[in-house]
Amino acid sequence: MKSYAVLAFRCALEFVGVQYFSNKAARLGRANDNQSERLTGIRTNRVTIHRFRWGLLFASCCVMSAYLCAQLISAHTAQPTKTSTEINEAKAIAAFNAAYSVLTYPRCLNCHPAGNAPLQGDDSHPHFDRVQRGEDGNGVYALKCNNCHQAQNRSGLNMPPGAPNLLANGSLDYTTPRWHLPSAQTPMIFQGRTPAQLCLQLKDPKQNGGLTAEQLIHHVSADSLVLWGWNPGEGRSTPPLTHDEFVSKVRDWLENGGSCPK
Amino acid sequence: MSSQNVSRRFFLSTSIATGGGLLIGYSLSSSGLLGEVVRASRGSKPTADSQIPLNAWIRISPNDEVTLISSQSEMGQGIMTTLPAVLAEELGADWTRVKVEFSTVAPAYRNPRINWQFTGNSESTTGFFELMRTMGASAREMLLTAAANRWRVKAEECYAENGRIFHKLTGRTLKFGEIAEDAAKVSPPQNPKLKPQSEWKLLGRSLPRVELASKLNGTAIFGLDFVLPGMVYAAAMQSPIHGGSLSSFERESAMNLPGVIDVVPISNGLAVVASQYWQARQALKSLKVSFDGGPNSTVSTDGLMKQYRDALEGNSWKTVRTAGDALGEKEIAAKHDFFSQEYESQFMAHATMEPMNCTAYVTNDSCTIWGPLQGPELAKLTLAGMLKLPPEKISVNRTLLGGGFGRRLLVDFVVQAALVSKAVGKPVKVVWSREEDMQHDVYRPATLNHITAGLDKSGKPLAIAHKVVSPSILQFVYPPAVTEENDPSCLEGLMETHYEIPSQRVDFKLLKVGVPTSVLRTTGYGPNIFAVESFIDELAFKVKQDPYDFRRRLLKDERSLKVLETLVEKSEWRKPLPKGVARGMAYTEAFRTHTAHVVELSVKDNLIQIHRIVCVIDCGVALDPDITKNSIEGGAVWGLGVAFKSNISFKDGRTVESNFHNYQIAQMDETPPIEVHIVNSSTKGLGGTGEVGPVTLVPAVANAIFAATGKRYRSLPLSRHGLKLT
Amino acid sequence: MKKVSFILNGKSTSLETDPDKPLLWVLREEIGLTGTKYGCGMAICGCCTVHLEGDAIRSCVTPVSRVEGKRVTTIEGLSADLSHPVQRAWMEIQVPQCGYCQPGQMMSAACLLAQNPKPTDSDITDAMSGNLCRCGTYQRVRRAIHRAAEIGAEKGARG
Repeated sequence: MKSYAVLAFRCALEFVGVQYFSNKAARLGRANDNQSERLTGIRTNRVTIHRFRWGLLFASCCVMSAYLCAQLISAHTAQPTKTSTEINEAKAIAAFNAAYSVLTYPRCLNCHPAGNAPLQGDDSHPHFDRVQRGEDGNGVYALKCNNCHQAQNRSGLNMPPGAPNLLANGSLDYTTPRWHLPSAQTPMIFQGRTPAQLCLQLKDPKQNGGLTAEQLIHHVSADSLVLWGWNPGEGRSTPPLTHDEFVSKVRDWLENGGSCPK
Repeated sequence: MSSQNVSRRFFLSTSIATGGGLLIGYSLSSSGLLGEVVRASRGSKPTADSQIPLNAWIRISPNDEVTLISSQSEMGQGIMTTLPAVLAEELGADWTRVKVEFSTVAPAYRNPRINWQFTGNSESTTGFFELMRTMGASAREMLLTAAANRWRVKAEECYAENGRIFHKLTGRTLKFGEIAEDAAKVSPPQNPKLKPQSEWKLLGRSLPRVELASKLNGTAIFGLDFVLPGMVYAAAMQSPIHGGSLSSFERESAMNLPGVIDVVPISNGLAVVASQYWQARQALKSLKVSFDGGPNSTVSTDGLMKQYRDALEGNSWKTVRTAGDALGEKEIAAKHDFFSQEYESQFMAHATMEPMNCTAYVTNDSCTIWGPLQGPELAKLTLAGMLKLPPEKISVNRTLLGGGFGRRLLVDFVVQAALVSKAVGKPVKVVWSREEDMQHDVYRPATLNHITAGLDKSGKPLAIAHKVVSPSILQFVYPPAVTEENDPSCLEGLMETHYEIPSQRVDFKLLKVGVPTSVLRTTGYGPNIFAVESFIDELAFKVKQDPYDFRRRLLKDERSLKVLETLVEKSEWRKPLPKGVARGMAYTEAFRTHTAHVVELSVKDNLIQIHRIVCVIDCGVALDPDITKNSIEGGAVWGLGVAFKSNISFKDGRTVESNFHNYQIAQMDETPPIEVHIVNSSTKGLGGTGEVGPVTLVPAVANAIFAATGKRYRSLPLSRHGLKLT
Repeated sequence: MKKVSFILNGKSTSLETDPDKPLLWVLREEIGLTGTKYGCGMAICGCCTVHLEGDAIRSCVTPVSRVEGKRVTTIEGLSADLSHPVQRAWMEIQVPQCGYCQPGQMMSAACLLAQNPKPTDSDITDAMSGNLCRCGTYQRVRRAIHRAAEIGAEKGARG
């Protein structure tokens, strides 16, 4: 798919180029004959114009098909969903920086730690009882995440927070908790990341769990663990933006080209 | 204490107990109130009617069941195994078949040293050893006499072994159960012959704990587990500010909640009573209640420490000890090359794993208590006074304790249970949540120690002067010992020392503070020995002597020297260590036991990694070496918490810490290998071990950190200096 | 109130209760099994540890609704006769002092050994650092887990 699009695009370019240069040669050949032609570069010769127009049409088709391929490809990569004419790098970066303030807030950061163990509390101290990530991010042995964390927050100060399981059809399953870290393979570290680093990491399918831009937006909108960040239980503060604001910043960032701060 | 004196003193009280107290206990147990079986040891039903008491401590049934009585409460120190083992040793019982039950509250069961029934201060073994020998030997001789009578032979020709009486000459034998009834009719001998140590079969060996099986299969009954038919539960809430009181509450805000029966005021708060604890606890959350702050609503750690500091810098000291010239700080400074330092130990919570609780059933004319108590006699007397009932109508019974550490010597939680039961007319178990327990502890107070020593030209201390500032710790536990200016428990470890220093002086200031304070495991020894053994180490460094050599020069006592030599040997003190690893040591005698530690560690940034802990103790004779080792190992772990992590702080009159996330103790990942070596000397020098474990561990840690880093830390916990155990 | 049914120590159990009530209190007060202990109520001490389908959950924070239809094992159900390798090792080495935390220690240890029959010291630290012991029996717990692994292997070898 990708190579076809590239081929089509190159054909289109060459065709347009060939047409343009052959036209130019023809124009140059008649340069002295027609001043207006010289100025406009358009042959008034009927046959040439005709040839040029068909050539342009063909080129356009190539460009279009290349573009369509690119669109299909972009459905599988984190590429901007707006047309390139609407890309606004500064807007994207500003949106990302706002989102960054949420991503590095303890509610998110604590489960996106740099080390082998989750953090807890507004001061992001190491989780008590030496709880660890484990290979699959679910903890180890008698200290697996779901051994203590439930499908909902337990009420009271210092009680374990919780989140429900998210089923494939998008509904929430309150019989089973879903509390975990990213796996050791794909640790999705936010702690200690500069905005530039985090931005690149979030866009990289190899590091973000294979998500597209759409999926990333969906994740921050609807994932039960993300939503928990704004309903974290007694004694835990919420991020500096509301959830809606956060989602809209992520959307703005990605839909404005997903540019990253330097 | 000779067996003769013991026999005379206790003969009368044991027979009273036999005739009186025990039978009262039985009549209650066979009544409808206690239909539920209490499985205190091995799940046995007390078959009260058939058991024949030979004295207050030993009952034998015709079907040959031997029941031994434990006067002491079991909180993990193994006393319900070790003291009955003394009885069994003298008796000649078959240890594999004995059952152990807790005693009632009666004069027979008082600790002979202070004639008071309690379990604490590491003086169960030391207090009862001779008495147990005598009681066991007395019962044995009664059995021998009865058997000899039946066989028409001489008692001297008979002996007891493994639950049987044997006649040496003919080989005839009788099981204890077969002769018990006759034996009970024999007059207890005045001077029973005690078994020589050389013939011990049980003592000096490691026996399986009597309650071990029940602690492994979930059947062990702690206070929180005990159930009476018809029992209801009460969740207590006390004034969040220490010394405050209940102002008002809206009963109706809780009454309609599931299971709620009543809301009952107690002395400094209230309790919600419900069919289940969970219901009571939930209802407590919804209850509208307000408290009066009282006089202590501005108490804070900063304010308290200022109070301590002002006391230390002020005058009006009470001199509690003088020896030799008894030079004070100024005099020492004038006369000698002197060195002065100050040390601080922190406020701590008991934080027993089993939170405070007690079960009570109070009727118009009786009161029955079941709970994890260390101070059953205090409970009985307090309840008698409070309920205006004669003491014989108060029955105080003990379950196992999920930790004691001195907290359960007090009776506040017992009184609450009785009050609530009286109010609702049913059996009630009062339960404190962990938060309630942590914030209404009666805390181990901070101590400030200021020590000054004067040295001679060879660097030997000629004079030592202590100034100690502390609130009372005995005040609620044993009030008779506490005066306006003195509490002897606060001075443990300073009133006597094996260090041969000619001039000694101890000055004390008893503080009154706005938070409740009491004894906690290690009592006065803990803070004082942290100070002394850190100070001795600092002196050694000052005069450029090895910490062991410096201490050895000051010691003459054989047992002290033996313990230190053994420590040096076992810890390989002289062996050079790899770069970055250092050792610290400490020695003292505490609770009559000689104890010494070496801690080996390395320090990186502020992270302390302990590689090894070596401990040597001489507790006279370790009657059960494995129980002793377990206790001392555990004591080292306790000590790590004291040294590095545990701290109680106060703000606006309240305790800040509420659970184990902010009141921290040592955990498995921080526990290094711990070796315990027991040096046996003699039963004449029997010492306690329950509280000894942490005493020299804590200063050994501080000394090792100094050896490793050159930095001396003089206040605990070390977390306040940013140090962390890894 | 709601009917909750589950399999407790091998037996079908059903009761009407508040589905949000922690399993710990259902076990202790409604069913009468007091082996599982209350130590902190916030899942930090491990005294309340039981097995849910083999996982070592903390019953003080687990709503009883979560065990609907599932298998729960408490300390009372670890074996009928103290024969579980963990119990045998605990007995041999005399681990407990006061004993209050030990059911939780044993349940966590049993979970470790079920997942890792021959744990290293590091595995033991990983598994057990969440079980607090005020008496400080950690060194014995560690020894006993190694011993339980041996006993388990012997049992396995005998078939």
